[in-house]
Amino acid sequence: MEKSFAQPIINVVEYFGKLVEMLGKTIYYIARLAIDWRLTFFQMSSMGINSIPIVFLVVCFTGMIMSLQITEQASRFGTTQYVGGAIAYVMVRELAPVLTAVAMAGRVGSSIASELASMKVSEQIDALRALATNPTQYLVVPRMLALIIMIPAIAVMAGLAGIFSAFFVANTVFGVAWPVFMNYVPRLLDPGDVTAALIKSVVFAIAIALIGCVEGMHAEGGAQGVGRATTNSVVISIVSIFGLNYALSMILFK
Amino acid sequence: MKSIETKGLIVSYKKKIVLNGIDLVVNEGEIVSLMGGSGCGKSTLLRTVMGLIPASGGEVYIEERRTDNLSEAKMNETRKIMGMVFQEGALFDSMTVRENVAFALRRHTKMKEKEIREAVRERLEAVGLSGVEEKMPSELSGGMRRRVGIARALALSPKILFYDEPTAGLDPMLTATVVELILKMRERYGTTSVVVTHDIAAAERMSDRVAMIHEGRLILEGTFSDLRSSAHLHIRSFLNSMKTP
Repeated sequence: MEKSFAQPIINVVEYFGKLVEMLGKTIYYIARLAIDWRLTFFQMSSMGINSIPIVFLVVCFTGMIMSLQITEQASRFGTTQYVGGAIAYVMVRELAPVLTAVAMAGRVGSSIASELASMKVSEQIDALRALATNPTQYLVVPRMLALIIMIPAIAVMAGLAGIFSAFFVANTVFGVAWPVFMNYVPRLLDPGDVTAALIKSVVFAIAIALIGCVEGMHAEGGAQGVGRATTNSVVISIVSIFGLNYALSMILFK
Repeated sequence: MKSIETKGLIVSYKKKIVLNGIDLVVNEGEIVSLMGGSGCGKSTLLRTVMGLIPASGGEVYIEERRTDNLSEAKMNETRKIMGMVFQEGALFDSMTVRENVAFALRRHTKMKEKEIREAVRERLEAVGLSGVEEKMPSELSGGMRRRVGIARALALSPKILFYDEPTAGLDPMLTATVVELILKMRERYGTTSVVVTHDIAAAERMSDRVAMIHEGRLILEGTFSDLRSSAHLHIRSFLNSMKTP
């Protein structure tokens, strides 16, 4: 009875230990500049650039929906001059980094987990070690660096796209002009908000890469194990993103 | 010189003892077959010597230098003189055959690309697979994948090679090809080989000695004559089940 009660706690502690161990090894290799830049650029392209369309879709539609709801109410009270500032404020500080990370967790986190899990169950990771190659250096470092570089960059671009999409709806549906829309943006947003958004994006990138790699490289049990690793990677990444976002918002904005 | 030595090697996995005090010596240039029933620990022994699985107790020596207590970085240096052929090949499925075989050459040597291409061509020719360099592993048959795995393991001309069931599932002609290859490696390069196999005929053709494992313990280490004349119940039962003449 006691063992079954403690087991979930033990599992969480063990899992956290695996994350910390992998993060430590990755930082070690990055600090020593033991980086395969060819692989890193490849990952930046396949994980980063190829994710731009889906991230833009998610953020732009969110911006448009926000604009639809907020501008409608603002129009009733004659306060449309605040719409742009309000949307930009929420978009930059919260929505762009979080939605970018969630979309990337779904697309890229699952891809990392499934690829590495397939390699694990088919002994390719053992083959790497047998060929005197450290799997963390070869597989994890390029993926983590690629996401650390690309997710903040995509979040910034997506945030801008989200703001423009919001303006598009405010203008076409409610007739809000560009100077009116942008009126309060400089008053509500400051450079610190952009820095905070970039910090959040980097933290989310590390979480997505780490969770995907840990799930993949510890997969067991053939095809079922690969499926489990992929699902776990997405679920744990998304929960982590929201939890980390709350903690980071408290630290960065309070 | 002793190429490989284990002293009282113990390996446990999920609280179950898989290897229980293995003392094994493989001399330089020898070919030793590891035999035993499924799940007796043969592949585990190979992987532990290679450092892919940590030992729970005992010692492992490669070329008379202790390796079971090495860090992963130092063990990687030792692995450069070893090669392993996995049962299903374990080819990197995102790479072509050429990239698979060239992998260790690109990472661990300063060879020029032209030299690497030539080395890859030679290794593939040695395993009877010329002309498949641009194919992906998914386009190859099981036997071809196995042979590409052998070519990849040979890339750095290792002194010690481990084969995990190299002839499993192969037809008699391909089995003979793999056996000849293992013998050629010893003849040409003096390679020490440890071969996990259930194929007694192939083992007898290529091996100098045989080691039999049963329930994690070494129950025989000697020649095939020793094996065939052994009165050990498990060995008799193993030989009878193989239905060899």
